[in-house]
Amino acid sequence: MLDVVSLVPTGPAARPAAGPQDGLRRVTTEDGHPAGDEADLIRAAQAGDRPAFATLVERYWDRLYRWLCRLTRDGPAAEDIVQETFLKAFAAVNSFRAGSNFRAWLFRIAHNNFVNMRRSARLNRQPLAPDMVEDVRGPVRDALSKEALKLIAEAVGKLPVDFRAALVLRVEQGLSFADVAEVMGITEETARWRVFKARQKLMAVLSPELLPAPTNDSMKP
Amino acid sequence: MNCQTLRSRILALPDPAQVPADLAGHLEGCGGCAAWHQLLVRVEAAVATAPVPATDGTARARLVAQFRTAGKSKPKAPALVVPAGPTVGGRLARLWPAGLIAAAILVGTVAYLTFDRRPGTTQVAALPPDPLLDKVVTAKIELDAAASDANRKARLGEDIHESAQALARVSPGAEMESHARMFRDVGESIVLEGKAADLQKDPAVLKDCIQALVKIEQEADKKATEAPVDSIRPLRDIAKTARESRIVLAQRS
Amino acid sequence: MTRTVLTTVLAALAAVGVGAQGPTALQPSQRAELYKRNQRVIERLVEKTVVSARAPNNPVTRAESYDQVLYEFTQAIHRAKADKDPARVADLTKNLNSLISRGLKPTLDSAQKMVDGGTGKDEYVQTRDHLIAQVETLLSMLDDPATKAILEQTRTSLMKDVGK
Repeated sequence: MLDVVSLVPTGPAARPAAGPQDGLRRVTTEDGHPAGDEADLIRAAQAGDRPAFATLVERYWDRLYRWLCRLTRDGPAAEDIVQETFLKAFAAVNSFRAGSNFRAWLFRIAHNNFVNMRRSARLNRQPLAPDMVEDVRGPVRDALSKEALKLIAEAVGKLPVDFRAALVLRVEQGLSFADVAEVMGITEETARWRVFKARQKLMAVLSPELLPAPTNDSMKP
Repeated sequence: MNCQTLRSRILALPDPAQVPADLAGHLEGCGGCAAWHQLLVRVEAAVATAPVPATDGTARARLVAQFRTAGKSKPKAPALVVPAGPTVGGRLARLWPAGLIAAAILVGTVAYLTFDRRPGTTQVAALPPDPLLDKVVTAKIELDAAASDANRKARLGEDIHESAQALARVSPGAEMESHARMFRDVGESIVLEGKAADLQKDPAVLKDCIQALVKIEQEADKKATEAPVDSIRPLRDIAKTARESRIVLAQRS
Repeated sequence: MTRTVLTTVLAALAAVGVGAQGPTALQPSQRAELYKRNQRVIERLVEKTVVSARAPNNPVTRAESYDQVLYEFTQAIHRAKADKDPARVADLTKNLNSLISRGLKPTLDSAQKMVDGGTGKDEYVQTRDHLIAQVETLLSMLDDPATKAILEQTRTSLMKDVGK
């Protein structure tokens, strides 16, 4: 059993809220940019303003790339899909409805491109380098050993891709289940189910390795 | 609550780090589940922050440049300031007396529709078994056992349509849309099966199916003429699905 | 006159007799309320019925279709218990019992035969593991002895070749 560095209680994970929670008017996007600013950029792009769209590319590139890396497990392929996504998004920007969720719309295009790429088997599908675990910093690295992080990365990589996609959209991108559903073209219930299954599978693999044996086994009936 | 149930419920939460009070109580008293929960929260945090391969930024810079160099330039949009004037919420808030009356009317209407008005009948709080649930469970069991059965699927379609007919007046909107979607799925399945049916073996195999679809189409269209606004489109969708399905089947038989 | 009165009285008595058997049809408002509560389970059942129908000769795919259905039943029973709605818990449990004993069990038997015959092993192993997790969750939350017995049998059947 690998050592977990410490089991110091942590507070709730800092995560963007899944949708408006307090009834107040949202004045920033989840990225912290003024929401009206994004709406202006989108309107401008719809009017043919390409530099406005360039700003949107700059804002969303990293998020899309991160998510697509998790899906493809292939950095260059992820970059290709990100590029294709923005080109298609610009071509289709007039179909975007003002006031709806731009991020979910963009990620939806990315997901479709990923699915198409998967079908054409253009993916190289190599495991992401385990050395990258070295790059983890901060509270997560403090709470989990390097070996534990490697185990987690491996377990996530082994998840069925649809489960992995839904889980990462939920926990990393902070999308609500409704938005996850919109991105993946499924019902909200199926989105919930996929996240549930992903977590269940991860814990089934990781609990025996990362929890003390008596704690894992002794469950109250 | 036992540990298995608790863990299953936590896995289903939108955010496992935010545990409701009824589950937190178990965690406080159970070291095993507390450790399990802590691990889950850390695993999710690790998933959220896991690194990905760095890129040299060339592709991104190239794409951004592609968009920046072409087309007109435009001054940067000003940052949004929370307006001093009335917001939509503020304007609505001033209508509170009307809102209160509207809420009272809504509550009264829901109570009126919910509770049966005949003396001596059962209140909705003690609802009898759900006939539609029974029927769809039976359909799943029977269709899993049968290699293929277009007529049995048509009966499932009839059950869904019958439920839609019952709900059209009292539950327009999302529930009716749900029925239309389910009927569409079943209709597509009937068509697929009809296309593959061996008519030489049983020339009349689709006849009952077609007759059922005709009946559904007629009834759904008729109901749509007298239904509330938000039930009309779902009923028309059901009629359309029935019509299109029977046309395809009729071409085969 | 006497015959007319007698006929009328007999007809009235017959009508009262029929009425006294109690209402057999639910009110639309009741059906609407039932649908609100059971919508997710019903939608999932219909969806998975259609999915299974596309694989008439693949019992492993049909067995997989029960995974999400059982999940929805789990969630629905949770909600019914939280709402303190024993009638709904009983209704869901009764239907779950039917689904497992008459639906899942024979499908699993066919799936296991197919795997013994040499096809579908990888898909079956994944499906089996999913179903074990669902069955164990249901076992931990249900009280009805008959349904628990069926679930135990299903788990035993699923577990018998774990590790092979």
